[in-house]
Amino acid sequence: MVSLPIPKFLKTLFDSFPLLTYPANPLPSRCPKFGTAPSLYVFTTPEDAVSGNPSFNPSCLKWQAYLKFNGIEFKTVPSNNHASPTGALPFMISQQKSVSESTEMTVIPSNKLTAWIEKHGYSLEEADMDSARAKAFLALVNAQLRDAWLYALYLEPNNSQDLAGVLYCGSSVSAVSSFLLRQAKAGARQQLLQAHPGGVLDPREIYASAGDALEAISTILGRDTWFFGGRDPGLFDASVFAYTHLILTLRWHSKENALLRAVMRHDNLLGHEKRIRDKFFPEAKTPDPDHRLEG
Amino acid sequence: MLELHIWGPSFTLPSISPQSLSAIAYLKLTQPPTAWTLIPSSNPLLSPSRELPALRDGTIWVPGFRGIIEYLRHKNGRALDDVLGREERADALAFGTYIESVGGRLLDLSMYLTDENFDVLRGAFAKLLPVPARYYVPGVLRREARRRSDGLIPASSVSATDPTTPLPLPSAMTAAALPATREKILAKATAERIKQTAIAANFLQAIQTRLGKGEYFFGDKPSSLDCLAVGYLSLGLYAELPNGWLREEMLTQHGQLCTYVNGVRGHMLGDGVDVVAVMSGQATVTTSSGQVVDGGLPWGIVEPQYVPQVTRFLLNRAMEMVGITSTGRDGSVRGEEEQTQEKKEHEKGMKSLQRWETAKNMAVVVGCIGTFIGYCVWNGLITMELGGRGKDKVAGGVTGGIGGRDDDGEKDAENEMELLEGFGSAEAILGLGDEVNKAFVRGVNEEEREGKGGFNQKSSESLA
Repeated sequence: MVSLPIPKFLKTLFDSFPLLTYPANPLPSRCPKFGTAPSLYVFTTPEDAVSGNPSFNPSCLKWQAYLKFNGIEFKTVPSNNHASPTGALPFMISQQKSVSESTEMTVIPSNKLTAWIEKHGYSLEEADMDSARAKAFLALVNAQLRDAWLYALYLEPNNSQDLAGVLYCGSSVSAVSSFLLRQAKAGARQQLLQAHPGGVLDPREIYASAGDALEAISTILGRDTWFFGGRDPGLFDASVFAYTHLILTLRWHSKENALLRAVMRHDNLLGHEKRIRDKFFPEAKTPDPDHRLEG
Repeated sequence: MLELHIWGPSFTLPSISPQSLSAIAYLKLTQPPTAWTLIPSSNPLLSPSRELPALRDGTIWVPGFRGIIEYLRHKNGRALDDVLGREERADALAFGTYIESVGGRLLDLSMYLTDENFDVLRGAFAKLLPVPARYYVPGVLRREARRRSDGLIPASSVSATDPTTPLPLPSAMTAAALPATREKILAKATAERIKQTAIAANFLQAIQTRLGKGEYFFGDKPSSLDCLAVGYLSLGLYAELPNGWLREEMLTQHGQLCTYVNGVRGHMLGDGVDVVAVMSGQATVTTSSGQVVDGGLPWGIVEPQYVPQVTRFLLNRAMEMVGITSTGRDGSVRGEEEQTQEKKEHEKGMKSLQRWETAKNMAVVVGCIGTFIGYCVWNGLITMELGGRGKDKVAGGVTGGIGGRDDDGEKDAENEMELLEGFGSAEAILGLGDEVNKAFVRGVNEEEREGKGGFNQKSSESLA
């Protein structure tokens, strides 16, 4: 290719206006800053996020508690499902300094958290989660206890207005929040219908099976400190704590608190909840005894 | 007499659904054969909870495996699990739930969500169901299975309909593109199979560990956990499906479980069942060759209910679409629960709230239909029809000269009257005034009379 000579006058013109590359603009100040501590994105209030208090969502609280069991330093960030790459909370963003000094950010969804924790946490002497029993009892928590939780929170009319509506569907525009609540209720109903293909949900049956599940869980805990005789709390302890703690601390409507009464029946589960709360969430809300008596 | 309604038999097993099989096993173990009959009705809409299996005792319907156990415990004063200790009972519940949730999803995956197996399953359902139902029920069940298994498997197991990696369109399938596509499908099938097998192995291993070397899960006596295990595992083992990954996994890797199922099948589920004989009500008759076809189960006869079944199905679908769903409407099951005043009041409050919800939904629907009709009237769609009829009348008048046409005209008018009345009753349901309707009909009557008058005149004129 033949290069065209630039005319003299153009060259002088360009020389007087040199091409300048400015340095990149700094990120806006509202941008999240990733420190060295990984951040766990959970459903929580901004105040609770600062003090590291328990999330109000069972699956978030489960991982929050399990991370604390493993002695991992992290901070919680209030978020919602729309922020998550998988569409469900919690997820974690951790930043690590790699060898080449360039920082590397990894997003860990909840189903990969176990592996991540294994790599970064202390090695605990917890019960073996691969054992057949642990799997079976985890199914009990994830099926029957979860169903009853969903029913109590979203489908009991008063609870859904006063608890689910406020916790999950808070929006300054009332039309938006009522629409969100409607969506959340439909989602919860869909989940419940998986176990009830007929489409008929009988609250007594749902609560009764949750009661049976709690009875069974309480039986296997027995007088042990942690489940399955582990020396440290494990993932199953976190799963149970996530439900019992929230069931005990949420302000259920006094006539729709069947789940609370079912938990109150088992002293060893109450003790288990208190042990974890005292040790790992010292600033958490304590269950309110006056409120309990109302039921 | 207890009636156990179930999904009908197939694959030589007395039922095609694992829950039904478990319920059969439980009743066979606890009830004397004269006390119950097995009815392969295959119609979940019979029971108020719209689930099968369901136990009918007189007017009381009890749905589901656990519901049935609970009911029989109340009725007989004892249950199969009474001999178990506290910890064993906790184990029975936990493992039972594990089998129901994970095992159930595995069966869903194997039977409903593997395409070639679903085709076979559709054939099996065709033997159980009457003509209209056999076309839509398998689809409904498949949809349910997909809804249940969304947490366990990625969408890719629904192989051909995966939206993320679209297959080339048939028009683009040139000879060169074909092998590549086939390879892609093959690779995907292999990946799928590995994933499925991993899930299955995980599940079966846990169950086998719990079972150990014993004859039953808890010592030498069967329990409710055995019923569930037999129900779910036997369907995995005996269902002969073209893509039998679950069966292969059981046979090759978990022989101990197969031995267990083979061993207890005889007295928990009966021996082989002849599907055709059972469905035609011939199961209780011993065939001339002396072969028992009922498999040792007290089969009953299904009362055919085609029209109500289809109507209820359609009604349910319509209600589902509109968003009206029933919640705990059946309160008859455990009536003996003590009810304090407070509880009753609360329930009343709940009911009124639910009623309010339903009323709101109904109001929205009625409002929409009303708006649509209003729009039609305003837009002239309905007046156009009235105009059309006027034209008919004139046409009748013109051709009225020919004899015998008279009758037809009258008949038409009658038909129209009926139509309008139908429309009127629909309006009454929608809550529109009766006056409108009456005025409408009156108007039509007058028109008709006029028309007839004109008609007669015309015909007499033409005669003259």
